[in-house]
Amino acid sequence: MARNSAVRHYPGFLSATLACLFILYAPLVVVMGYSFNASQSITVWGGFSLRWYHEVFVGTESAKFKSAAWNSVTIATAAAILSTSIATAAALGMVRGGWFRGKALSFALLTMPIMVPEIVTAVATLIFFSAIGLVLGYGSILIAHVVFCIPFAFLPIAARLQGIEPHYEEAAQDLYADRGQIFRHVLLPLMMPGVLAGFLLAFIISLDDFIITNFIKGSGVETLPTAIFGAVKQGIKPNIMALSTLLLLVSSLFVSVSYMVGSLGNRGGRSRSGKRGS
Amino acid sequence: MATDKQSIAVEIRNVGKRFGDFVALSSASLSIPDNEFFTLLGPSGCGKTTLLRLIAGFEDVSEGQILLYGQELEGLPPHKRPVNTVFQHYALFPHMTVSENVAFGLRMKGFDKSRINETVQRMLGLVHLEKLADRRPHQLSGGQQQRAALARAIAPGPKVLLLDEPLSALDLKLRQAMRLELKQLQKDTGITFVFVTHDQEEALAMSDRIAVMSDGTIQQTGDAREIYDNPLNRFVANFIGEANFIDAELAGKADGLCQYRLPNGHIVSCGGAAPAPSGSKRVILLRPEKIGLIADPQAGGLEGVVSQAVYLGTDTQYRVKIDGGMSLLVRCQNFGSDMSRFRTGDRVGLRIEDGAARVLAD
Repeated sequence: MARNSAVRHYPGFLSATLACLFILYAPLVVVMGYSFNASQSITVWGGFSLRWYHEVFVGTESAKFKSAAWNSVTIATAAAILSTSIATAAALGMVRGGWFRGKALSFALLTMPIMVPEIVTAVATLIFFSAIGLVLGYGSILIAHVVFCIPFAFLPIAARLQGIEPHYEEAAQDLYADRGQIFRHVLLPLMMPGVLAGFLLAFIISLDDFIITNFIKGSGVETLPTAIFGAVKQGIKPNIMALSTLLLLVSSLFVSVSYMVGSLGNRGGRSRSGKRGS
Repeated sequence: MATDKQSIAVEIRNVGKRFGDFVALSSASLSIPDNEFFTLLGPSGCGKTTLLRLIAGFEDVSEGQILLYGQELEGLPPHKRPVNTVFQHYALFPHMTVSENVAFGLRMKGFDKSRINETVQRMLGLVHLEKLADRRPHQLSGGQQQRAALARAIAPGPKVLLLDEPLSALDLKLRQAMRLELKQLQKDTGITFVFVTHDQEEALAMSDRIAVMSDGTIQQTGDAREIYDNPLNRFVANFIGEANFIDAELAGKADGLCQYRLPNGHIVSCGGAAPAPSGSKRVILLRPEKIGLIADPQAGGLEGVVSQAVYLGTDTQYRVKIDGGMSLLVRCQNFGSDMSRFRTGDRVGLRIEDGAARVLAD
């Protein structure tokens, strides 16, 4: 790479970077900071305190938050497991299934939901569920989450699978492994970084989904984002900031793990592919 | 050489393979006896790897039959064929250690633990990797990966081992050492090796027999000496070693050798002649090292002028412009003294022993 073409030599590089970082992260920093505020105010600093965290777990609204958190975590886990399984099967079919009629179309249909405005999906899902008479509640949320998580899980898994040379499967087949054994002993372990990344991505997407969930949750069932939204409608109290900070923490943790798993897998894959001749 | 008693390990009967309109292999026939080191030699795209993949079962034949010890292989998927492959890039499983890699085929065959462990140890000993058993493939050098791939392929005890240019990713010194090791391994294990390469030196050094391929066809099959000394056609002669090709005309016969007249009128006695009517035109092959250069030309002999001399260490390669138009490549060994050296512009005589030139079939 030419030294003088490096982006940091462009005029205004530093100030543009700082401006972007400020716009992106200042609100989050404010929320995190004021979650430790001792005072009731959300604008005036009254000293450091953990009272709002205490409030989240034992306060008047804690029961509501706890059940919402339980719903969120169980739905996210189940949705991530189911959507990752379906996405893995889809990736195997798309990447290793050879040519079939409508392959490009299938790929587009699989990944397009990512680009469809979420509000459209939300309205459509609601109409569909009422049309087939599905009772709105925990089940309907789970079904919707599984569906919209599939493309998010699919992309990293398919990308990983594309990077695995088919000669490993040929070698396994040559060494007397049947299809099931090839998948279990060779393909799945090699795909694992992609599968994990897909799982974590699906988990996070499900955990923080608001729009679709809000449309189809029915009455009485809340997830964390809808519960937080409901609480905020009655006025922003610092306990919401504490709760949001906790949610942010969990999300960042998952995204970091997903990133590390992905980069570990890629690094391994590159050095593992061995020496390329000529 | 195959005798009646020896069983045939691999028999290829009129096998063809098409990919769409592209003919990768056309009516190939071969039979490879048990316990032979057999090489498929040819330039890239000649169909040698296709033939290997057909034997392994990664591709289906378009026509013809492949038999393994008399058993028809058609319809058997690769994991049910008693052959193993050493892949060009080894394809060692990156998530397994060396010993896990070697054990893989044995595990898939359902052998019990103690037998697997015992075999893995024996295989690692065979390829001198005992100390690296717990390493992952990416922690091994190219040569070590090569040996691990060999051990993995031999461990399940295949009847035939297929090797797809296994040495091409190694550097020259290592490649030369591995040639000897491979040859020794084949002798020690008694497994029939089918080895694919584009490197003629490799083929000559290791093989019991060689099939030279080009354009999806087997051009000639034979041992190293046959292929080199008595090539059937121009392609084989040119692909293996260096060659001078001269258009010549059959002039007559003497002492069982055919007399061919070169374009300049000179008569050469050729071996390997196919029966042909007098006056028929043929191409004759003259290997550069079979021509001798002499300082004082004899009367009636071939004469020419050295137009190029290249010193190559053990040999010197000359290009000699013969009186009457053609130009020949000559290779002379460099002996201790300087007496056999010529320079550009020197006038020399050429000595061709009777039978040193060969008539090509086409």
